[in-house]
Amino acid sequence: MDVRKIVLREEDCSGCGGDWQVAAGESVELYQLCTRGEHRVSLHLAEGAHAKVVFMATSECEVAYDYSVELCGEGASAELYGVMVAGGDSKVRVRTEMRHLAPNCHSDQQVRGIADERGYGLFEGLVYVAPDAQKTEAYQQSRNVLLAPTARIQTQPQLEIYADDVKCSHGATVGQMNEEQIYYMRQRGLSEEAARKLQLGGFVREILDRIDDEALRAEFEQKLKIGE
Amino acid sequence: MLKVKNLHASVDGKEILRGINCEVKAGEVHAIMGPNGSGKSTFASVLAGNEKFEVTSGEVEYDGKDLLSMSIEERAREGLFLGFQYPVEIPGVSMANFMKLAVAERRKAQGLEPLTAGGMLKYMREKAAVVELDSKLMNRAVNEGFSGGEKKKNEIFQMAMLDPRLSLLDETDSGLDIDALRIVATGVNRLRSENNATVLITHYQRLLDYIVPDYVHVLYKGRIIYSGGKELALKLEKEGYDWLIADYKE
Repeated sequence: MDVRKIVLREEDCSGCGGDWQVAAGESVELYQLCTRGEHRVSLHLAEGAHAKVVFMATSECEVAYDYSVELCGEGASAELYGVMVAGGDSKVRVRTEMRHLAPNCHSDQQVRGIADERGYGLFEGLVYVAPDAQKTEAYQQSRNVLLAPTARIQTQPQLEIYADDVKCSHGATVGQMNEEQIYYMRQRGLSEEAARKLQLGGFVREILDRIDDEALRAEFEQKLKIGE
Repeated sequence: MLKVKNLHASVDGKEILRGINCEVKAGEVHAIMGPNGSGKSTFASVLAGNEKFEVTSGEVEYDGKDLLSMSIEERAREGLFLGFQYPVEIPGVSMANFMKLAVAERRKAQGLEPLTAGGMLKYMREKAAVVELDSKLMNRAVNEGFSGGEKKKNEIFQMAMLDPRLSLLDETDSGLDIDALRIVATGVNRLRSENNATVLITHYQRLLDYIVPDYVHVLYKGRIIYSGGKELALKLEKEGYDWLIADYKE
């Protein structure tokens, strides 16, 4: 079956976004790599529809992404994966709303945040499960690392669940680089800088591996400056 | 190759190494034994440059250089290898990519040409065979999801890849079943040469049935209190450390 592919790059979306209907049984992939402005993306999924969103939010000034995914038809599923990087004096904000409005829908959200220097990252993730959205499965995870004492990341996962037969989980962590890993790599001859770069690359690898298209994945890697 | 003189080191203000002296020459295998908490792993960590420990006095000469003034990676590039007691998992970093970078650094220090991509692949397969390590593991993240035995074999595999001058193997035998122990020991023996040296840190005499040391040292309370030949390990296995410790006055 054909997959509809949408790529939102800087030049395509200076402060806009879009609203997409995903028809019954249809599959959509949306990739976003913008570096400034505010962007609002809404997806409405009909019965059995599937959506995959992969984003990278990084900026030299400010960038904000706002995702709203509505699972309107039974058996719809959505995946949302992304990386936020805030360095320098930049501010990066990502809001997600995963709205389960019908039974038997599935959603997964994985967001990785990295902040360095005086960068600030904010992740707000809401999972909403309507009263009749029974048999919902919804997962959300936000993992973050701070590379400098002046960097900040706030993560606010929220669950709003009105159905009783559901499987939902969420988790959020904010930590530092793992020094044991750095030591191990340096003991094998890698410079400290190379080891840190490799470790950060590893931290976001799980997200990038969700991009099947090689050229597109390379574009993400290049923006993240973790290409090999 | 390695000369350690009156080495003292501490962690969080607590002195762990309290004057270690020893010398390792090329071609030799040394075993360091001793009860728990005597400072064996600390000794290996300090030689590798682990920044958790502070060297408070003493000197270490490695191939004529001042080891203690070198960074962790400089020591590694100059051929000092530490086989970790607890190998570290690095999610998202593939073994193949990690080894590619590590081998490139080591070869540069040795004045060797970089390997081509094909040459690297062949080299990796060849060395994986030394420790019967499934080369499919090269596509996986470093140590992630490896079994205990695979992790230890992976340490010896990396040792083979990096062609070290001096290998410090910290409790490489712990947690291994007898088959894995034999494979690991065979790997270490195959890598032995007149140009390199190995220091085995171990609790048990068991490993020394497979890798026969030239010297055995007993480390106790941060000092080497007794040294002997390979027969010392057997005596320790039978009689324990009590006879030595009873003799030892601080």
